[in-house]
Amino acid sequence: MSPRAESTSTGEVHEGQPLVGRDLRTEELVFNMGPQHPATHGVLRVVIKSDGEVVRSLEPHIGNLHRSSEKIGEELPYYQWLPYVDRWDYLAAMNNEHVACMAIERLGGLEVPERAEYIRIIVAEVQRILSHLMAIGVYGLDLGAFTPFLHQFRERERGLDLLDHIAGARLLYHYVRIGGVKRDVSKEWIDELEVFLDAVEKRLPDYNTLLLHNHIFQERTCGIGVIDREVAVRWGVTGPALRAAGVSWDTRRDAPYSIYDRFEFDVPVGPSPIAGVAGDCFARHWLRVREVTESVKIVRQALGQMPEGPVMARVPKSYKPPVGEVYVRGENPRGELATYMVSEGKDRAYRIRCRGPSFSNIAVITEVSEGLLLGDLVAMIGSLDIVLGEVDR
Amino acid sequence: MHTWLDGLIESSSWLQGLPAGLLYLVAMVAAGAFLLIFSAVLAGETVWLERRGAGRMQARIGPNRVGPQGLLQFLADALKLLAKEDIIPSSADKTMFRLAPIIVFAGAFVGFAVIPFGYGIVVADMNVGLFLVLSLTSIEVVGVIMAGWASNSKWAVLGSMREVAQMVSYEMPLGISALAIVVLGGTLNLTDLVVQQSGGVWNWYVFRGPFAFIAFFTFGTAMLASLKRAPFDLPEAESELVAGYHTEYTGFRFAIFFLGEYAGMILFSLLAAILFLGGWDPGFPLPLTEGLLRWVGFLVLMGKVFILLFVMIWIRWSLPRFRIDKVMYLCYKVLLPWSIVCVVGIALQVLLADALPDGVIADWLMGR
Amino acid sequence: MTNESDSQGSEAPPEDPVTLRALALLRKAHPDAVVDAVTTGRHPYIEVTADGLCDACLLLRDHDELLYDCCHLVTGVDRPDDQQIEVVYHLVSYARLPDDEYRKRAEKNDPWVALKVRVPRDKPEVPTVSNVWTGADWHERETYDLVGVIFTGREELRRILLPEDWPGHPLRKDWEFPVEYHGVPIVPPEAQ
Repeated sequence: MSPRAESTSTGEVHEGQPLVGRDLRTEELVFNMGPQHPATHGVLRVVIKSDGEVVRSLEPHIGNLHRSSEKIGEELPYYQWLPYVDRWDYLAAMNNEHVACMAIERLGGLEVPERAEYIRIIVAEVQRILSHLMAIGVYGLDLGAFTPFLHQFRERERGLDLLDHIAGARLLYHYVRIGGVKRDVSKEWIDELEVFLDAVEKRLPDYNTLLLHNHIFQERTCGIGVIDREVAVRWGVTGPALRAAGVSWDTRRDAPYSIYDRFEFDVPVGPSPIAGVAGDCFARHWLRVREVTESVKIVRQALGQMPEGPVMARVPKSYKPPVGEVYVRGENPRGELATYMVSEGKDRAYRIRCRGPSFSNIAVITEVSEGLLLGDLVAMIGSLDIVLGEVDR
Repeated sequence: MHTWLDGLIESSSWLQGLPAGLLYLVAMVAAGAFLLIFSAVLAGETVWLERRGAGRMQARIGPNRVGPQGLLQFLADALKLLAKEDIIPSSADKTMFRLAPIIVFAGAFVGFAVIPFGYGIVVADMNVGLFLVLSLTSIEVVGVIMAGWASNSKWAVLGSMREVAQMVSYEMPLGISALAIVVLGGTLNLTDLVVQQSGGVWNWYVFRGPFAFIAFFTFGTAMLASLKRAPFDLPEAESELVAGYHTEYTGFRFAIFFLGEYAGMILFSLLAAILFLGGWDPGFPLPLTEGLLRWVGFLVLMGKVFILLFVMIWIRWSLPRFRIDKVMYLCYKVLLPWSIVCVVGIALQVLLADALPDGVIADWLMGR
Repeated sequence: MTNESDSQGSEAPPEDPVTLRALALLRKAHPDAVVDAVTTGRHPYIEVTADGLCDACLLLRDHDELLYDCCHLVTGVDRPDDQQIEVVYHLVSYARLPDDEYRKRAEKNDPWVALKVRVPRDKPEVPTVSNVWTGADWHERETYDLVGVIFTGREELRRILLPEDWPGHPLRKDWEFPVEYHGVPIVPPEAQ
C-alpha cells in the first residue's frame, strides 16, 4: 500500500497475510476537528479517535480564545473592566453584563432603581430570544439545513437593531452599567419592541416546520447524544441542556435574582412531547424553541409593570466596595453564569472568577460521545450550543 | 448527426473532394466543443438558478449584479476562480490530484453525447444510449476517490469513502428503475424511448401504470443520492467533513468539480425527463410544421429539465441532511426492493398486456 | 475567624440557614475537618482542612439532607500577604432533591454552599474532588493552569487554557509577564 496507509482506517497490510479475516490489523483514525472547522462553533478543537465513521473517544482542547479576562479584571477598575464581560458569551452580552453588574453592586451594597431593573430584565430577555434564535438556526446549519439559519436572521436583525438603538452597538453593548443602565428607553422603542415580539411569535412556527417537525431532523436528533439527569448534574451541565435532561431547574425561578420573582413563566422540562427522550439533542432544541416563547412572555409582563423613574443610581466616581466576597448566579441562554468576586476595598477587584456555562457544558462530551457517528457528534456539539468566548474567557 | 453529415457531404461537391475520415473528425470535434460549451453554460445557469432560488427561499436576494438579473454571474465566478492561486498540498499525490477533477468533469460531460435534445438533435444516436449514460456517469466515482486519496487529508478520505459507498449503492436502484422503463419500452435507444411516449400526457411512461409511477420516484431519489444533492450531500457535508473530497482543492480545479456536479444534475434531469416525462413531447398535439416542432420540442424538454432542477433545488434548501447509516438504510431496504418490485411488476404488466385482447387498455399499457 | 463582609447596619446579621445546616452536619461527622466557618453575610463559607476536604465533600454530596450533587466552581485565590492560597468550592444541588426541598432552598435567595481550603503558598497541594464530582475536573485543571494549585490524587493535571509550556501561573499576584514566548516579544500592558 502507499505510504499514506496510516491515514486510513485500514492500516498497513503485512505481506503474505490474507486481506480479510482476523489477521487484518485496523488502526484507529485520529482526527483533528477544529480549531478551524465549520461545526465547532468557533475555535474548539476536538481530537477524535474514530473507527471509520464511529467515534471511539475524543478529547476537547480549549484555550484558543483565552483572553485572560479574569487577569484583566484584577488590573482595571470595575467600570473599565465591564466591557470585557460582554466578550465572555458574545451572543448574550446583556446577560453577562447583568450578572457581572449584580456581583459588583452586591459587593458594595448598591441599590439599583426600579426602572433600571425592569430595563435590565427586558434587554436580558430580548438577548435570550436573540441568542436562542441563533442557536435554533445554527443547529439547522449543523444538520445541513441552511434555510432556517437565514430565516432567523430576519428576526434577529430586528432585535439587534433594537439593542443598537439603546446601546449604540449591535453585539457587545456595554449597556448595563454599575448602578443601572446607560440610558432610558423611549416610548417609540417600546413600540418597536412589541413589533419585534409579535414577529418572533409569528415566525416561530415556520422554523418549527423546517426543523422541529421535520422527519429527517427528528431522525437525526431523537435519542442521539443523550445526556441523562445523572450525567448532566455530575458534570455541572446547566441551562437548556440540564432542563432537557429532565431537571426542573431555572435560576430565574428557583433562585430568583434581580426581579425575576415578579414574573409568571413556565420552565419547560425535557423530554419533548413531540418526540425523543429526555436529554437527547431533540429535547435540547425543542427546549430552546419553548424558551423563546417564555422569554416573550416575560418581556411583555415587564413592559406592563415597568414604572417611571431614574435608570441610574448614584454611584461614586471611584467605586470602592468594602472588603468582602460575593457569589452571584444568573441564568444565561446557555446555562448558569456565575461570578465569584473578591474585593479588598480597592477600585478594582482582588480576584474575579467567572463560571461560563459552556465551559462545563462542553466538558461533558468526553463522556457521552463514545459510539456516536461523526454526523451525530456534530449534532451533539451543535445542540449543546457552546460559545467559545465563554469557555476560554 | 451521421445522417445530417452524410447529407451535407452529398450536397457539396467541394466537401466530397476531402477525405471522409477527416470530415467526420472535424465534425465530431466541432460537435463536442459545441456540446461542451452548451452544457457548461447550462451548468453555469443552473448555478444561477440555484443561487437565486435559494435566495428567494431564504428571504434574501441572491446574485443580481452581473448581467440581467445576475444571469452572467457564473462567468464572473469562473473568472474569479481562474485568477485564484492553484494550491496543491505538498504531501499530495500530485498526478492523481491533478487528474481527479478531469475525470469527474469528463464523467459528467461525456453523457451529453448520447442525450437527444429533440427529435434528431443528438450527437450520437446509439442503440445502447441509456446503458452508456449510466456507465459513463459512474466513472465519476473513480475521480472522487482519487481526489480524496490524493489530497492526503483525512476529511477528504472520509468524504470520498462516503461518496463511494453512496454512489455504488445508489447506482443499483437507479439502474434497476431505469431498467423498468427499458422493459416497458423494449429498447435502450433514448430517441426511440421518447417516440414511444408521444401522443398525449397519458402516454408518458410515468403514467403507464402504478409500477412505472413508483419507478419514477425511486429513480428520482436514487438520482438525488448519486448526484450528492441534499439531503444526500454527505460526501461534502460541510458541517461534518469541512468540504469532503474537495477540501484541498482551490481555484479552477475546484471550479471543475463544481461544474461537473451541476452538469451531472442537468444530465440526470434530462435522463429523467426522457425516461419518464415524455422527453420533448409536449403532451398535446401542436399545429406546427415538423421542423418547427423539433425546436419547440427542444424547448419543451428544457422546460421539463428546468422543473426537475427546480425541485432538486427546492429539496436541497428545505431539508436537513441524512445520516450515513440512514442513507444506506434508505438505499438497501427501501429503494432497492421497490425498484425490483417495479421491474417485476412491469414485466408482468407487459406479459398481461400481450395476453389481453387488443383494446384500449392493452394499447395504453404497451404504448401502442 | 470573623469576617467583616457584612455592612447592613447595627442589628445582628441574619445567619444563613443553608450553611448552618451543612456546618452542623459536617462538625458532627468530621469534627477534625472543619477549621472555621462564616455563616453570616453575603458570602458564608465553611473552611476545611486540606486533608479533610474529600471527606467533607463526600458528606456534602451523599448526606440525605445535603445532597450537593454539583460542583459549580473551583477558584484559587492567591494571598501573598498571608503566604497562602485559598481554594474555594461552590457547591449547588440540582437533581436529587424532592420538589419541596427545592422550594425550601429557594427561599434563601442563593441556595449554594461554599467550602474554603487554605494551603501554604509554597506547597499548594489540595486533594482532588474530581472523583466526587466529575465536573470539577476541568475547573481543577483551570485552577492549576492559572493559579498553580496542585491537585493531588487525580490523573494528568494538565494546563487547559494556556499552552503547555507557558511560564508560571498568571493569576498569582507575583507573576510577571514573560519577555518573550517562542521568540515572539510580549509587550506588557503597562508599556502599550
